[in-house]
Amino acid sequence: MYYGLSNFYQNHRRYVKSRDDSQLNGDSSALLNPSKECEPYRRNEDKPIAPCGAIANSMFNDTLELFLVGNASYPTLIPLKKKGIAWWTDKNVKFRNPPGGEPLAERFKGTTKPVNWVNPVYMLDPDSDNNGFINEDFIVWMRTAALPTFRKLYRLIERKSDLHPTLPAGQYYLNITYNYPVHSFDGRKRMILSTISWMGGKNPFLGIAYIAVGSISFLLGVVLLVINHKYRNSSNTADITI
Amino acid sequence: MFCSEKKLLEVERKVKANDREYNEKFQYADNRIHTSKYNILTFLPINLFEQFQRVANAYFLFLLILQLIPEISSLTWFTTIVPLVLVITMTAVKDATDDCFRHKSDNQVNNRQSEVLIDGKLQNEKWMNVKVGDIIKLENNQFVAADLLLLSSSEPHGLCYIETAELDGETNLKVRHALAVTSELGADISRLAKFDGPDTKLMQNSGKTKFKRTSIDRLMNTLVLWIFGFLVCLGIILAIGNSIWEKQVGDQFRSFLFWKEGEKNSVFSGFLTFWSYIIILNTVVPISLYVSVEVIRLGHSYFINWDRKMYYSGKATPAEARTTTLNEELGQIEYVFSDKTGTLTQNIMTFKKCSINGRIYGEVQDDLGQKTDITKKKEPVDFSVNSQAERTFQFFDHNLMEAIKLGDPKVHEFLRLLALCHTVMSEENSAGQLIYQVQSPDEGALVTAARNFGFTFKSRTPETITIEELGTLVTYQLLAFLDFNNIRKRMSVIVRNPKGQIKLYSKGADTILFEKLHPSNEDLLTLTSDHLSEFAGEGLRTLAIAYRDLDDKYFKEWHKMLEDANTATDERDERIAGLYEEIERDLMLLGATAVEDKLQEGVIETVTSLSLANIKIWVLTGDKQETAINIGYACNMLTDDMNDVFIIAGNTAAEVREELRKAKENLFGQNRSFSNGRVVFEKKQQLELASVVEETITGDYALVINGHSLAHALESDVKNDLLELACMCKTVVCCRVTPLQKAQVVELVKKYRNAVTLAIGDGANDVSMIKCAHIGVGISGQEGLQAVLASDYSFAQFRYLQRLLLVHGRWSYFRMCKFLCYFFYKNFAFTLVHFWFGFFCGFSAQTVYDQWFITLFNIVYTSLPVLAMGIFDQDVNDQNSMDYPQLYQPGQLNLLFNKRKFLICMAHGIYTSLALFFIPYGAFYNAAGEDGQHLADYQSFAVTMATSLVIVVSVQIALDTSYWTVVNHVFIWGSIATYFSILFTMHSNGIFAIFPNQFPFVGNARHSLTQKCIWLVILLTTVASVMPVVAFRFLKVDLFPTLSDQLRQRQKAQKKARPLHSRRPQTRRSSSRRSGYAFAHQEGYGELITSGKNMRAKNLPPTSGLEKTLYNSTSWIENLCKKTTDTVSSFSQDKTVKL
Repeated sequence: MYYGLSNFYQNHRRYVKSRDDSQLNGDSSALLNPSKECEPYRRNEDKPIAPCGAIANSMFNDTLELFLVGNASYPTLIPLKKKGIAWWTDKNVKFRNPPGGEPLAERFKGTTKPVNWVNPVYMLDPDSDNNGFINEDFIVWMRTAALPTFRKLYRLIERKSDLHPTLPAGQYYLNITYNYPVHSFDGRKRMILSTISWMGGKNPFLGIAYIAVGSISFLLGVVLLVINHKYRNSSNTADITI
Repeated sequence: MFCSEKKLLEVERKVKANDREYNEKFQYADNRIHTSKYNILTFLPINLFEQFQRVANAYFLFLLILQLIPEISSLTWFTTIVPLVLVITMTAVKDATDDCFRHKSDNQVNNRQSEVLIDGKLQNEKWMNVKVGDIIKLENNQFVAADLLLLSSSEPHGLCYIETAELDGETNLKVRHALAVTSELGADISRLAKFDGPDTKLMQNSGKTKFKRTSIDRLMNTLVLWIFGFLVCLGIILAIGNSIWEKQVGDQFRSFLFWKEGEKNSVFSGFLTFWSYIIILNTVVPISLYVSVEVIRLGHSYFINWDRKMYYSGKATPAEARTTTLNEELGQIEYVFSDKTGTLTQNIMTFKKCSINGRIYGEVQDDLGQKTDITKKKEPVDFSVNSQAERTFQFFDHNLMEAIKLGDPKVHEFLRLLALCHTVMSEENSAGQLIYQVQSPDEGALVTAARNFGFTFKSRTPETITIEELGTLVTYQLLAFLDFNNIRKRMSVIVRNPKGQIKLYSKGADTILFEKLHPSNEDLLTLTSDHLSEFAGEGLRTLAIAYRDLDDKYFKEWHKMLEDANTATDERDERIAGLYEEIERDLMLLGATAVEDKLQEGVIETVTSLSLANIKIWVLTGDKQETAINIGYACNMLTDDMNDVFIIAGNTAAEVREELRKAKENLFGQNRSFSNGRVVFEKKQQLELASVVEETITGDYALVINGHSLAHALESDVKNDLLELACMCKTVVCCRVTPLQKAQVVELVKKYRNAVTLAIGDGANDVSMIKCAHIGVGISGQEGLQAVLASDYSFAQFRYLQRLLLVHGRWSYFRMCKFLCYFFYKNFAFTLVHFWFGFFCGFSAQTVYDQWFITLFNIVYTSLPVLAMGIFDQDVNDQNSMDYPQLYQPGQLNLLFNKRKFLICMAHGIYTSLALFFIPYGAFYNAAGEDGQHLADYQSFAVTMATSLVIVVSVQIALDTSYWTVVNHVFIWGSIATYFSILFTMHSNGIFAIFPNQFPFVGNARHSLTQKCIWLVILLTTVASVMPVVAFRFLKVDLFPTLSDQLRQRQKAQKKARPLHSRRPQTRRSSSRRSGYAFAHQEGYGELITSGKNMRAKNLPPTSGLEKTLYNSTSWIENLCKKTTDTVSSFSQDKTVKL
């Protein structure tokens, strides 16, 4: 299950560089004194912002819930897995909470939440393994998109067994808690469900492009073969005029 | 004693001899030679200053400063500074090594020893410490490193013989004499230093060293400007885009993308974006371009230095590329200006053949009685019987020796004449061997020949000549000496033999001498003139030989008249000439001699091959017209099947103009007669590689122009006529030209024809021409060094020019063009992706790639394969390059890299960048990873694109490389391997842990490159970018193969079993009714001999003759002076002064 945003310039230069990787890596000095690149989301009310910068500040915070309406009178909530959506290296190497044995709130002491956020970073998820900088939703968001129209992995719907379809045919109901404003920049939100195959998600472009390039190559090959057959002899045996 | 010399700048130069204190007042330059640029202290500041004067370096410095402004900086500072530092260090190292060599050679010259008179004593002093006004003692065979004035010498009458090989490459001795007043002063040769160091005539005459640049250099600079313009255009487009975007989109996007105060103006934002994009897109003109070009040229220079086929074992001199920046220009030469003496010829004269009494001697016949060329196998005549024989002399016809033994009177008379009629001086060295001092090498050859055949010239006094005739000493009385001059073209002696008979022996130009013959000679004359034509056809220098028996009474009368004439005050010369004319008639023809002005090895082949390559060869020589023409014929530059040979020899401007006009009329008149055919031919020639037939039709005219005429012709109004005429001609020979005129001629062609010129020479008189031409080549291994020092390339033999141009030059050009094409393509493909990305990132100057990738792409990932191609590539091998000179023509026509080619490369680059950007774009639009994780993030996109780029570019270079060496393989595969290893290193956890802010791509490579679909994207991109090129090239080779394509195919086919066939162009020689007369003789020596002034006192007979000669003593020296300066006036300025 993906969420998609369009017309959102996550690849804008000033946006892309507005983060502090040291801070996100749990560096304690960078935590209290974030990089200048984060300006103007570096400090708020004289306290350093954690996580600083425009990317973190604009984190997507809608909640999506999927229900199967089905035959039963009440819809059943489809279980969505929130862990495993971030890259392993991001989760285990790139993003680290500040070190220490204390509770997260203590470790983030002296910092303030990003301006647009409702909760501070140490309250993103009750699960301590998915809280703070290593919250996977946050990590996914922080991996900026290449193009202004993008989608990001939101949740996983796991296949239970081979016999039962993961999402049986039927009526579904999507519940969206609308927190994230996109109208101001003429944006669109999308929810995408995609099945993963051996080469990733459904991607018609590659298929079409391969067929196109392949046929052009084949045609060219035939044409060149004919031409070569016709002219080869002449160029080979032609007397090299001196 | 005062010495003053008129000069242009300083009107007078006051020097007190041997008074250093006095002379120091004038602050004349010291005698140190400085050609080096830096010393240890000044190196860094001067070199850096020089380097930043180069536009490219200054530009990159400017970019660096821009990047330090945070608002603009779209790339981190290291992306520019790393290459810049690399480039500057490399250049500095190269400059430093160059300068080291200059220091070395300066020291060598500066530290030569000389003997200087200081404080009344002779002291050893280094040449560099010699001051103006010093008196220097020189001994035999010493080098002279300043302009000197001869004060006195140990020779009688203050004479001194100098060799000017370092100046003009001529090894024969020239006579200089001291002023009468000073000559009595010292016993040994001593000289007064007149001009020192940079003031010497030579240094002043040598012309300024200009910084030479190749036409590719100039084209490159233009293209860089174009690209810069293009860059600014892109910048403006993107800046406008940015302004619009900020206004329409960014404005609304504000809640997520902040604005800073004062940045709210979209126009200002556009302005900043413009600079940001200039920084990002600067890689279109990468800094490594200039360095790579230098490296490639350096590589090519080493190939020239290492070429064993250009190594002359005879003098152990390898070819040397003294300038490393001009190599590809060697592949574009259109005009070659060559010196004659020492360059085309060896300056060795050998007696080759003779015709005596209607019979030719000297032809070698094989068993079938057919003429064959002289080969090594043939047994030369054994001269060991003759103790006086010169060892080096070789003659292959035994018939002559037999004829001598049989006592054929004509043969004896012939040889006797050779031994008597000349101006040679003899000397015995310590070993008792006879040494001849010759004033003209032709004479030396003749006298030596006579000596080997048993008629040895032993000694002479003013009144006698002693020769040894087959073992018996015979002394002839020398009664009169009828000297040589340019009008008479002959010389005669009148001698009385011991029997009392008076004989006149004469030798001279056949044309002149044949008119003086006795009518009874008619049969012999036709026969001999046939022989002469044959000799001339072989390019030999001929002289006709005749004698006359005089009766006593007649001679006495004549001699009386001659003495009268000699003492006469008015019309002396005319009267003498008339008397000479009178006695030299009714001659009996003896035969003719043929002397070979020995060409350097392989000159004919080289000349033929170069003219097949459409290179025009002009000979510029200080020699006389006849000599020059003769050499022209000898090396096949002039041939008898030429339609016309125009000779311009007028002495006034009007005459020259008239002659030029006539020649042109003649040329165009003849052309018109078959103009239809010719136009077609010419057009064809431009379109395709011309064949020989066309070549001969278009170029069968030759122009011979004299130095005097040239001076007039170079005046502005006739200049164009001359040029037009000269360029129509296949061969141009300029004779009697001064060094300055040589340079002027080169300049003329350079300026008005826009052609690439090459000058080749060996002496100091060629220096100005060598410096003036686009490329100067010096013949090394000779005594003179000036030409080599001034040259860009040097080698020992003229024939190496063929290899230098047709192989090295052509390859250099070919490689450089390929390199440039590829380099521009690569950088367009690399950089323009940013442009396309600009449309999708709000024109925010976000880079597509990782910053590290941008830093390393040009200097690490892709530099080596293209360098390997630029250094090693070749389309056809050296043998084929030599065998098919036509292959040279694309270089002359500048076909391989020009503005059109550049645009093609650019289009190719743009196409590739489109493919590189839009295929991943399409693929990433809604892609998802194998584990469902999204992969359309910026970093994955960057890695995919970078990987595709490296692969596409590597595949492209592999396609471009036509000659695979191990190095190519290592570099191409190595580059790809390096890319991946650096990629994985930089994306590794370890490096991220150390610098989390510099390496944010942690884990990216691992993640992205394990996705199958990313590899599918990379494959698709590669195929799509390369396929059109493959198809296009395939079609081109199939449908419109060039000569080199055909040869490549043939070469491939022949690789397995290569038949050994050499396509050496056959030397064509045809006989003609042309006079081969040429004689390198100056007049005035007859008088010198009869006066006995150049003979040692002991040789002078203590007879009354002495009185007579003393009486004459002032006149001969004046005459000699007058005549030598007359005849060589044009170049005496350069020759005479530096002793």
